[in-house]
Amino acid sequence: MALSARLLALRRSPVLLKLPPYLSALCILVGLGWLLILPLNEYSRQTYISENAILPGQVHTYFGGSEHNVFRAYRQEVYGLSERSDHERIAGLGSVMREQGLKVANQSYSWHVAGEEISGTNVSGLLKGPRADATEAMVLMAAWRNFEGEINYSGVALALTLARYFKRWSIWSKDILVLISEDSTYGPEAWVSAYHTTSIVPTASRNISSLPIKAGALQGAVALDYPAGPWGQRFDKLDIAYDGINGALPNLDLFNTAVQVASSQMGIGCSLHNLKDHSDSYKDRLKTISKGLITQSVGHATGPHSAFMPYHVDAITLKTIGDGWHDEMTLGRTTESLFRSINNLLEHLHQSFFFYVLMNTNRFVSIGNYLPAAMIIAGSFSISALALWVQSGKPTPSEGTKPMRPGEKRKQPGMTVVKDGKNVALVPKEDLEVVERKMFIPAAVVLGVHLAGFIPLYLLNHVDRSNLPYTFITLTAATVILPQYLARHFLSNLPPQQICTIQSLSLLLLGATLSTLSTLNFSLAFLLGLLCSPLSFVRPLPSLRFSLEQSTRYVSVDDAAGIAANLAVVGPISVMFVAVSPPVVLWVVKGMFFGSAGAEGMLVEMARGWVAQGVWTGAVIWGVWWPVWVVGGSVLWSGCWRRPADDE
Amino acid sequence: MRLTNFPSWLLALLALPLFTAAVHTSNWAVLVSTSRFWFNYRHLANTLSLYRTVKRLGIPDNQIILMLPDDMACNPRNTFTGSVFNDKSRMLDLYDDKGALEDLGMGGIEVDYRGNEVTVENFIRLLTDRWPSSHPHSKRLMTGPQSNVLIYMTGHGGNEFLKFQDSEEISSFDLADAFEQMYEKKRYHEMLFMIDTCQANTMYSAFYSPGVLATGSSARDQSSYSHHADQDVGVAVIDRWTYFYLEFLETRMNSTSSDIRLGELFDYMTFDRVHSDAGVRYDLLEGREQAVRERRVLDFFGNVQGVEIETGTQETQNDWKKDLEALQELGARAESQQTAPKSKDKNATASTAANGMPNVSRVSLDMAQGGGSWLKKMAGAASLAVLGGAWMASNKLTKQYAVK
Repeated sequence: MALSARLLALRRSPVLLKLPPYLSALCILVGLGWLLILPLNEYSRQTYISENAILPGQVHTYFGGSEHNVFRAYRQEVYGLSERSDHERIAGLGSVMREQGLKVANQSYSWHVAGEEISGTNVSGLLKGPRADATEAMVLMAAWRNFEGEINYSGVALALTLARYFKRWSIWSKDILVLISEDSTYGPEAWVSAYHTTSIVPTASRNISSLPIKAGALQGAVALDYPAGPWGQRFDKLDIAYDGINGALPNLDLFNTAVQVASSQMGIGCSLHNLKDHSDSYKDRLKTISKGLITQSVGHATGPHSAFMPYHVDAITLKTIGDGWHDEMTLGRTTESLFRSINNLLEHLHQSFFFYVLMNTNRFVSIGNYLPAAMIIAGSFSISALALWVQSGKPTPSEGTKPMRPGEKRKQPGMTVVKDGKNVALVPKEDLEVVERKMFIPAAVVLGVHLAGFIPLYLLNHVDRSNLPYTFITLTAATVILPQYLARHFLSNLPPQQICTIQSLSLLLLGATLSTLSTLNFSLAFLLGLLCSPLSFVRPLPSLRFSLEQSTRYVSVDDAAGIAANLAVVGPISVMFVAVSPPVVLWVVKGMFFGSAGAEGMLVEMARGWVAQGVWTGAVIWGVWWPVWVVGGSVLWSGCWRRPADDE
Repeated sequence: MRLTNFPSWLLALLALPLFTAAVHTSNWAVLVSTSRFWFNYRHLANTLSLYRTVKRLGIPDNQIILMLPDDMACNPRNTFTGSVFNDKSRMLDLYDDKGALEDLGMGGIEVDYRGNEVTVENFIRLLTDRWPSSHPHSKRLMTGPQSNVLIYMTGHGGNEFLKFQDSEEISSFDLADAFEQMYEKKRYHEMLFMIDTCQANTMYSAFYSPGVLATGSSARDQSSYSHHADQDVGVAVIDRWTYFYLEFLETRMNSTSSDIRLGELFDYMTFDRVHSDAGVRYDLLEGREQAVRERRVLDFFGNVQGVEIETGTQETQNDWKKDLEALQELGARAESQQTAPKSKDKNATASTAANGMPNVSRVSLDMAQGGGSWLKKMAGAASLAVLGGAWMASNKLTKQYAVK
């Protein structure tokens, strides 16, 4: 009795009960601060090659000399094909590879998203390693159109030249697949998904034909993005795109190999996220981290390599940027050396990190060092949830705490005797009791709102392109109104204890989801955690209704002041709360990143991501963030509609 | 005849090894690479280089146990199919049976344990000779108490262990105990243990069996480095320590009569060359450092041995005198036998002169010509005539039947 009684009494400790909100706030600040110290030398590390077998840059490259003439001829050929019809182009690409002695196959694909069709045809060729055992393969890719939609003249020509060149070597331990995809996002997606499936059943939104030619397990894929036209264009740096669908990353060894081969062996500078001038300062490092954080949290494809990540195939895109003195042959030799390194692999890339944050091409933070940032933020919700749970178990305040009315006699609170050895104490009974929590309604509310999240998810992914903006405007309005409605007609009628439980359950779910998500997609979990952070501090607002009713009955100066005071509190808080609602944040994102495309462009991209690329961000927004915000809003505004009589 | 003319001091010289304690009568080598995979090309090149060297210096293939866990020559990543090189000049193909020059031919490679056979268990079984009776003799270390054994190991190692093929490792204690078993079973006379791996010197720290001389490429907490990479093969082709061993052996040990001492060889492995502290452990051999350093390199790397004549009885200083007397007696008897028929039988001397046969072979010729009486010859001719008649008669009979 003694110890447990003390512990039970401790639960009532006013200090402990007041602590959680401060703890939550601290967690959020620490989480944010954690990210800000990552670029410092003390918390990040120099990249290094972990896998012994790779041996980057240890071979002479022989791609040069007359290969340059071959390249120029192919570039002219590619230019010629670009002026023909799609059909002729595909046949032309196929015949070039066939002449080289590759086995060629075409693959057509189509998706129906937002009332539109995405379709195209991939051309791929198989170069069988003369001494390879046909159990493994690597992919050399050049999309016909690069990620920006330009025709990838030199990239495609270089891939064809390299295929011809590779064909003459007998050193391949793995087969080489040469893929000329129609575009940079959906072509590779169709190809890689067909590669890993035996039969693809066409659905209403998807029709991908199967691949007639396959090789062994893919060990790596390298895409070339070099849109220089038929007259060529020298480049300054290689931008290495590495982030995949849903923020998945290729093994750091592949990235390091590319950087080492390009910079050490070939003397080409490398960059990340198109940040051409990286001075390795704190600011530039943080900028690179933030750019990575944003692309990875969005989770959409960032190049032809992105589609490979969900299939656990490590892939990168080498994109030429700037105007410098490196030519196509240098890029060709870089690719040759990179392929020699992948060729050296004995098993799937596994030695180095799959979870990392890059701040420069040669500096990174590994998961152990950056994960706490998102975990601590997720933890702030769990702390709040536990505090609310404890609070919901507390009996409703006894009369002793209420203001005395004239003539009323205060009742003695029930006391109980606690003995601990020789010590005897009188403790209020209520401090040792746990009120039974009524769980059904809170659980039903939380579950119901979460299920309702599938409505916007469904609508935004199935409505036609032209209707998307209207749908979204309606959704925004509905999102702001829904919590008001729930508060007015539902939550305000519930006892405070159950409101407490609702919020507790909702935050508990959020904390658990975010901490799980942070191990899968750190960036998304981190940013979502920051956007949700106000939810920890949501408490029912002061009742406007109480004040109004009072003021009609008794006109008093105090009450008028009370209304004004309450309004002054309710107004700004409500505005701030609406500002962090999912639709409003998405409108801000639209304004920042989709200037010309507008809301329609953004929403179509989101729908395409969900339907064609398999991006989970939409589900997280509407299935996690939106319901939590709605529940939070309902709790927040439930106070406004509370009747004064509720307590009695 | 000729023996009798030998000056007796020469015979005394031949018998000399009997009185020196250290002698071996055969040389064996166990050459082990413990790592596989393409990027460990150099470990196989190390081992094959040593293989080539000991073969060059006279250890025959059946006394070399070669353990190679991988086949670099046939790796698809190898630009030079069917070849393994230990230098970027690629002058010497370690796999080629002809070599760069005709006379450098090695007669191919005989790998005794390959691929998954290269295990700690097999290695220890090999040393201690604990095999099922079905195990082929060609894969056994058939050494005895008069055998000098060279053991060379290379691979990836650490403090007191050496990795075998990524899946297991041998510790210095395993090795020390195996050597002790070899000692107890009298499986070696003396042994030179060489190891080229990171922290190699820790591997011989646990040895306690007499007669083991050990040397390693690097001290504790030191790495052993590769010497250089071949940019066309695409990997490092040889390790530093082994490289300088080979350099020494190739330049200084030009023939099987080279009289180079071990001390010189060990001193060649300076820090400037190897980039790590190569170590030698002398204390388990008789005479310690000073005596051991005076030993010939060929005692372990070559196949030049002393000859021991087993006497069976207790040796005395007069044994060789008795032998000499006996030999002189034999010689005198042969001389008298030779001079006797010379006067009697002219035919016999003519035949031996025509054949140019030495007189020693006369003893066997006597057997054919010993029974030289005319009566016996007549009987032989008669029996031959009877047999010939019988054969002709049977021939006629069969012809008659054939006509019918």
